[in-house]
Amino acid sequence: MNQLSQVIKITHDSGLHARASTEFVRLAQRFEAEITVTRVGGSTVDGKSTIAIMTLGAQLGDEIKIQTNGSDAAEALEALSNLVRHDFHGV
Amino acid sequence: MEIRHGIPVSPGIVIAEALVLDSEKLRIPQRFVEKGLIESEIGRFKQAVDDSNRTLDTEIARLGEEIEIHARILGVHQDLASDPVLHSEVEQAIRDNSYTAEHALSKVMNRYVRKLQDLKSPILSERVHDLQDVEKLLLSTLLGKRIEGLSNLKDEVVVIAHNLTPAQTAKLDPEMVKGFATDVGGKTSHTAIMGRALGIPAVVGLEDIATAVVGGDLIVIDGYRGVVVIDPDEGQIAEYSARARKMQSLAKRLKSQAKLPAETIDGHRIEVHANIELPSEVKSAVECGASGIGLYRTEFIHLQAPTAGEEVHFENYRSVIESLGGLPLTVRTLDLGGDKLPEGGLEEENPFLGCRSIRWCLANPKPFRAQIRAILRAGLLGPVRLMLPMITSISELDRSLQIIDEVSDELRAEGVEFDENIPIGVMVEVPSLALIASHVAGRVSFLSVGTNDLVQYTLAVDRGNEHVADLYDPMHPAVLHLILQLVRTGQEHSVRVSLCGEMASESIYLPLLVGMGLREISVSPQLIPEVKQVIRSLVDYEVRELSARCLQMSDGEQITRELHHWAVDHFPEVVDRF
Repeated sequence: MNQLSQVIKITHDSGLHARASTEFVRLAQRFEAEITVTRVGGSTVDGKSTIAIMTLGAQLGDEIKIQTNGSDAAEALEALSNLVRHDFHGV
Repeated sequence: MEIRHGIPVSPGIVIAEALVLDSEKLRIPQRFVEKGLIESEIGRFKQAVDDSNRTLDTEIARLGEEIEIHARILGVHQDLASDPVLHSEVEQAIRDNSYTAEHALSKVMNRYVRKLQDLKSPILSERVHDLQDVEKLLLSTLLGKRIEGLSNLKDEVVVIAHNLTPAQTAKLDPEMVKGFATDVGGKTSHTAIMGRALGIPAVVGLEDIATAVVGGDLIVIDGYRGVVVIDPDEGQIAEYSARARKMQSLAKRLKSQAKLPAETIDGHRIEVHANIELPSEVKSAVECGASGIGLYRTEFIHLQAPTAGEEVHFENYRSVIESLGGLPLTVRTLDLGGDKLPEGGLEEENPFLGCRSIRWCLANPKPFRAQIRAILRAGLLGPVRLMLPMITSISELDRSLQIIDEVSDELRAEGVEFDENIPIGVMVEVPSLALIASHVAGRVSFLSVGTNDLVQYTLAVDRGNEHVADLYDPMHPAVLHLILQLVRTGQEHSVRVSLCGEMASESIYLPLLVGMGLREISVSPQLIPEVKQVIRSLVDYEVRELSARCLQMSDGEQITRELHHWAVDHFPEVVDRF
């Protein structure tokens, strides 16, 4: 198994709000890998659940850790990190 | 099963299903399934998710690109409805607890709503609505045609809300609503007033009842003790049902005798008046046998419209006086501050010791004078008395009386007719005034003991603070000796002494109060039939002995025990309630 992780700072003004969470989850669901998201200093949730990610309450300036585990773990991690870094493509 | 404690604001006991306002507009008729049906229940849930997604597909297609933002929101709803965590948690709730799909969904959604609210992020708290929309969609799909509206309820319900607003209560069918329980509020909140006006039990100040309860939960509301039970067990249902039946038959019997005078067996008449806040309460007060209004709280007039002038006050008073049909009315001037903050009021470290009540009025003479003008004029429409709250010293009293004189001169100069001989009295709520009562008695026509504040100020206990609630003891000998001194001063100076406040609402205290020589009390309208019944069971010389005995005791608990025993011996059916 192939387990990877990366810590990224949220730079989106509104943090990981509803539509940002939706974008994240939609992308995550395209991969086979198990994906979890941790708010650094907070809880860990399923990266394929919008409801769970919203309740992380990650805001501008918070750090999140994305962890992927599975055959396409590397691709998943890269795609998701890019999405967060690019402020969820402006949603 | 879960027990919550709040503030009882309207008496009675009810057991019924919850209708939770705000978070949920649909009612769940059934909460549990048989073990054998669990798998099919999970199937129903999955089917409902598929059906809901198809409904959303159609909706999104119909909206097309015209209303793109709206379509995008529905897309989010679709994601939420298909959320894998939601699915697994609902499935688990059905499996572990034998919940119906509807109840499981509601419980899980409720948990996430609470989590989002706890984050206190304005952006995310708006998303609560999205979750609630999705819950509603899934529920209505699950329930099919079994949806019931708010205004055509088929079963009796108790209404649970964060805070009931007049707009919400206006939509409810009063025939079907049997109780209220809210997160916030006090004795004077809209919930309290509606509860008393409808004659149904209400408990407020429960903090998080609106999120703790899911629509369809079975709820007990005990409006005597301020208790709410969520999901009561069989034993509690049996116990509360028995108490509710007993209370109903007692209330019915008492009400049939409410018009009889409150006279002790040996012929001492006690005037029992009502405390009200709204003109609409007068009718039920008179029906309950009130021989007048002993305390008309006027803060509402001001809080609803802070710029309310003389005419608004006058119209309210006119309405009360007309409904009273000749019975006396005591109007208390504005008692703002403390827990009733006027808009733009002061931020004070210690508001109960701050600029409240008469102090606020003397500092804000304009609304005070407008109110006094209205009271003096209303005096021509019926027997009206004017009562000044929270007076602490003679100079404060003299300044207030001087303003009344000035206002009278003003009216005279304008040629406006008013009651030149309106009786003016003070509320004795502070120990300092009780101790100089003989000086006060020469200046006023009556004294009225406000026990809620008198206890609070005598014992230095904030009555709203749960950490010291156990120190709030109305039977503390210091409080009782202050009241006794007032009664004696009144007798010496031939000045009427009455008592309004929660103390007179507790039936077990009544023998003591009558025994101390009080001849006029004022309580909530609904309590009058009971209070009168208790008084009719008393013999004056017996309760005089009882009170002499109590006043020699050094400890409030001991006095309460003594009074409780006395009540159990003399009017057991009423004591049972508590």
